[in-house]
Amino acid sequence: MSAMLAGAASGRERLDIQSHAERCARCSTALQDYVAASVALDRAYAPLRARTTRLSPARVRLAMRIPEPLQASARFSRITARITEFGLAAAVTAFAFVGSASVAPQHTIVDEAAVPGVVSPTHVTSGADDQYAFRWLRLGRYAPQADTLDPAIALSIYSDDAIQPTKPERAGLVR
Amino acid sequence: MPGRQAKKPADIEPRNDRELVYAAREGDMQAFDALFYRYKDGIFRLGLAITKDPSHAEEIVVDTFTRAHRALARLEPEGSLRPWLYRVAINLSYNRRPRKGIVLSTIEDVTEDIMENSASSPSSLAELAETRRIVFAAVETLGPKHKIVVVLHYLNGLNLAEIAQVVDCPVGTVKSRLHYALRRLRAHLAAHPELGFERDAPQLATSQQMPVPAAGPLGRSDEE
Repeated sequence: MSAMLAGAASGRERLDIQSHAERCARCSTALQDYVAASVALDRAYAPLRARTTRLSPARVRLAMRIPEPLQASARFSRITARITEFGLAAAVTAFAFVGSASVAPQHTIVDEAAVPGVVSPTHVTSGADDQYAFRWLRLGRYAPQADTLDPAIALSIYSDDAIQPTKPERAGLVR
Repeated sequence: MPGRQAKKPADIEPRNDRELVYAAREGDMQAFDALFYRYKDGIFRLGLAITKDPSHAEEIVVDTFTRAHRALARLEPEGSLRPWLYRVAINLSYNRRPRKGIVLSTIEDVTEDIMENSASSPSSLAELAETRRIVFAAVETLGPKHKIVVVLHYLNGLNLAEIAQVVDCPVGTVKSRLHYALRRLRAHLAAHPELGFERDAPQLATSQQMPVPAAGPLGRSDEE
């Protein structure tokens, strides 16, 4: 009977079962029971058979950390974008260095061999001070310290505030 | 791309599972995607029937295909990959099923949104919902072995031979389990005469109505 209800019985087997059920009251009742239960199960699961999911295979790749396959056009555009980025970065860097080279302090070549009485090889010295030769890289800070410090605004620990400290107010208690 | 969204790989894929597995083993991800689209809904329904939670069921789909991808090198499907996939999904589902006393969401809740959209009257919908509640309660009283046979047969539409492949037992055992489940269900339904499941229901005894359940979900295939 289970095979018949499951659709696994052949036509001949099905006819045999039905013909026997017509003659046997016990088997007829059992068959009724099975058919009723089977129909009830079929109806109960009918809405669930329509359930689907909108999952994408990308979820599986994400779970396995497999990169999404790229099309040839997408791969070409990505390579082009990388080359463009690299070229742009190189151009900006070259512009910054070439532009800043014109304001760098020039070294002075002193040929001491030309000075009479001094026996020394020719050597190179910086123009004003060695520290200025490196400071030009710090944009906007190329200046001697004496120019950036104004003595008029310098603070002293012996200022008037230090000599005559004000009384701390106790807020709220005055009133 | 609209064109890519419109076509379904499972509908246009002419290769069988064995060919798709071999292609995926060589790195053809489109073949693996075709397998995914072919079986994802069946695995989802299977997970939903066991865990009663759609989010868990989706995770089971992902986990099942993750394991399938890892096992591609040693998979040798004779005909269909479905028995192997369903077996993995069943094991994963039973690992994720709700613990005793914890009710995540009932399977009736899942079907309510579908019922709301149907054109039936409210009274018939209520009667149908009550019948469904009683049937699912009866199925819940079954053991895991009997329950999975019922779910595979009535929900996923597998025949006895396919169920035997999935649960890895002889066809006779599947018949026996289905017989036991139906007998148990009938006994459970007999306690609710208000639903028309009296023991002497004459309307279902005619020979014309007997093949009805076999023509329902039983001939269906998940590969649609």
